[in-house]
Amino acid sequence: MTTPLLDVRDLDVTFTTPDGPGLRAVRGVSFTLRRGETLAVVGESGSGKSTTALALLRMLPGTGRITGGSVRLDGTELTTAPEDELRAVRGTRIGMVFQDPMTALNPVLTIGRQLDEVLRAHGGRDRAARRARALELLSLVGIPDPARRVDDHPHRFSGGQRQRVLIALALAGEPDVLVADEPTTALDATVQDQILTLLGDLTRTTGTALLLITHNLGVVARTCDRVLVMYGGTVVEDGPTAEVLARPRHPYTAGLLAAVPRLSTPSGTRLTGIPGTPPDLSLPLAGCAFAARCALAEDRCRTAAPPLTALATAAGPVRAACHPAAERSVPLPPPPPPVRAERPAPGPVVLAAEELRKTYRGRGRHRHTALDGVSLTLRAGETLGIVGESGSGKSTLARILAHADPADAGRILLDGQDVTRPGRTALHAVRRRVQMVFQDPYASLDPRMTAGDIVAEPLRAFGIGTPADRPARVAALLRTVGLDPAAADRLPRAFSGGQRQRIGIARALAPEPAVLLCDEPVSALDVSVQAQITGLLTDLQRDLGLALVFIAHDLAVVRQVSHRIAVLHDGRIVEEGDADEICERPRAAYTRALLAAVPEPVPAARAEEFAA
Amino acid sequence: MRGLLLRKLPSALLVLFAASVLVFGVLRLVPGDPAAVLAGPDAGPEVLAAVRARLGLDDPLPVQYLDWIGGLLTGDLGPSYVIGGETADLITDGLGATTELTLGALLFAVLIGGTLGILGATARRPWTRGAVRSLTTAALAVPPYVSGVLLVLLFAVLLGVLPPGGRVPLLTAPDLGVQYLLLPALCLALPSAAVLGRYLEDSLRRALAEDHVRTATAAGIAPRRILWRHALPHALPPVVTLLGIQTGHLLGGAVLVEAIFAWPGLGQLAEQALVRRDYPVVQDLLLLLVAVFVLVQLLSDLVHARLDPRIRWE
Repeated sequence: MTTPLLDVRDLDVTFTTPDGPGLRAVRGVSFTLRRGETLAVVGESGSGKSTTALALLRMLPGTGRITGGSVRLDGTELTTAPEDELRAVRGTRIGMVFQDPMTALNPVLTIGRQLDEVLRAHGGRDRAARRARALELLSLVGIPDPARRVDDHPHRFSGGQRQRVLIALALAGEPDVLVADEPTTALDATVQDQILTLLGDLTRTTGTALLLITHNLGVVARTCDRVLVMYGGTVVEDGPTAEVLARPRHPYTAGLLAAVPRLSTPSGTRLTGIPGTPPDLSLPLAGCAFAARCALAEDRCRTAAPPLTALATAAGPVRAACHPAAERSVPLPPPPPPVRAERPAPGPVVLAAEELRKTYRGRGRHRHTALDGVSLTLRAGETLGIVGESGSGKSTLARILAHADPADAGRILLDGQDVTRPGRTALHAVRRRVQMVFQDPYASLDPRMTAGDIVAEPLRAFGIGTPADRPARVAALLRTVGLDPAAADRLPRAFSGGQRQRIGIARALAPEPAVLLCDEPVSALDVSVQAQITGLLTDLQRDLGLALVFIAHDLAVVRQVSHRIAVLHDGRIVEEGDADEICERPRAAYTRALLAAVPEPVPAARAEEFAA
Repeated sequence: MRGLLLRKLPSALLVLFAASVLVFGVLRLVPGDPAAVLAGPDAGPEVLAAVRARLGLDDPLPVQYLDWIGGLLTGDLGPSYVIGGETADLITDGLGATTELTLGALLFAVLIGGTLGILGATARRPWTRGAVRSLTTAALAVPPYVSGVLLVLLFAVLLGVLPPGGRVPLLTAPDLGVQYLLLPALCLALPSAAVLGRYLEDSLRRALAEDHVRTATAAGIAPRRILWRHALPHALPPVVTLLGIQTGHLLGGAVLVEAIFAWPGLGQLAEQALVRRDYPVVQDLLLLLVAVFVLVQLLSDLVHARLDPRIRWE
């Protein structure tokens, strides 16, 4: 075997904190990347995957520093290389593509200028030659009519096109390694599909090695030969993608795989999650990082860190860091069969919308029709899934149903009464009956209010209870959403993402609503935590008879939690019906395209084997 | 660009109109009668009435207002009441001096503020950042009548390298003019330079933390080039808007600085006219100030749009 192109050994990254020993974000990570190889680094938030990627080029943010280990590129040590030597590596040997295409491009420079800057940094002397090369790069990444688009600013491009431009920037220096950090996370499924195809084609035709950082196992299965699974700053498993995803050795990999919602799972099935929360990286780690959440953990898992042990398989060597797995030569048992959620039959219609229309005015004569005649009904105890890509109008619909924005035309009926344009008192009543759960559990809670105050606020606003009995009500609400009432006096930053979403749900439940509008309630959460929130919503619906509107872009999640699904496209409902029916026998071409774009985590050939 | 101008123009005209009504009204409300000042303390009621009639002060207020605006539009500002001479001549004489002072101060503000801002945002050593911070705080805290006196004391009295006051027009004798301009311009510029510096530092620091700077770094572009060609263009638009507002402050501050340095500008004229209730001069001056301010705002909006393409929709 030839020497690897990139050889990372025992990499340690620490973020110093004003108090305490610091945060060890990456702990002894080792891996290699060969020329032309595609390797995925997969993990949830806080696993250290992005930090590892940034550490390769010594671009750690803030107080982050490499505190141990080595990074060798063709034998050259990068962790101790002087800054100007490193700059020569950036772009020319290792190129990077970042997550958010909306912010990763400079809004005040044309994309031609930005490409030109990079080409110039890599020694392109002749202005005309640089421009020709910029056009070439743009057409390479599939920007139509580059000669006309090259002098446009980034805001003129769609999200997918901006990501293509970013890939062009990363490829401008003809690097040997392309590091892509969550390149498709901010994009719609159909666009994600195009970008992944592009990355695959480019690495194949140019022979560039790809290091893909992602949390999405479906993306891994679709794009990479090898996968490295990270948890709590450590590598827990690594091997050929097909082997690892079909026969995981590490309980965390198995748990993660089981947690990914599958399109094939029928409506009314509970999502599988991993209990517990990720480890606190500021604490020293005695044993396996996953031990606290692992069902198979033994005493030694909590005291001694398991080494990465190699195992020969037909597809190639697999390494797993797990004491029990090292002794077992067979893979883990398959995950438990899915559990059906008990769902009472839906009751009478509580909320109905008829022919809702909304047009937003832009500058001058520009008009954008966000909703173009949308009608829907929602029964008590029923979940209506609303699926659509960005710009489909799904958030506008939520805003109008929540009376945050008025509709231009159409009617909204709540309990049979017209509440389209409620008066002041009627609006107050409507707000009590219809509550919202927001997407971002970080931005939707006031960082200076305690959890208790946040939940008590709607009680005060609607004059529910007396000041004396409110603390008891808050405690009861927190218990309902599975939080310890003792946590009421803590600030949001003391909670994890999943816990914050629980606080948001408790706040929405406080005025005892009949309808809960959930706008992408789980899309900001890790897969292993998603199940906890969808499970909670299902339980609340069963116990309280809530009607749920579940807005999301992830069809697999929506199918599992919803009774019915409405597919929204360009402000119209293109298809509506029974959740299973829509996913198995879609009639609209758009629904079919959406379904086809969802990447499945387990390669098709192995899927049945895995499910058996 | 023309679309933007057309969109902004109506509100600019509205501001001018509202300001003219306000200026006219306020001057009629303040105590003191220009006729009494002009006629002298011993004048009898008939004399006073005659003076009033001559000045048009016995006309109804709307008529007086329309007379004034009509004069402005036709370019006939009329005679001054008390100071003597045509109002237009008085203003033209002072305008050159004040423009010179304000532009000089603007140049200083941009140079000093720009240097401090860039230094503050990029300095690695904590004490450099601390020094920048202290300098801007001091410049903000010290009012012009203190900094002016200190500057005169240092450069004119102790060192004796610059004149303590007065003006030689820059266009007639550039070498001498610069010497006279330096101290007042610097004195006027200091607070604005501090505000600009602080703002630029903040804006630039935020630009340097943007994702696209990380993209540029990962592409191997040198840090110096990232600062000047990537972060600065991104940081400038809001600073330009602030610069527009600061220019207005400079015009206002000129009144004080002109008094300290015996600079024969509009500030001096305004002071004289106010004390002596010379309505036409005060009115025209105030309205001119508003007009210049509106113009500068319009200009900074256009520059802002030039720098930030997202604002420039057709």
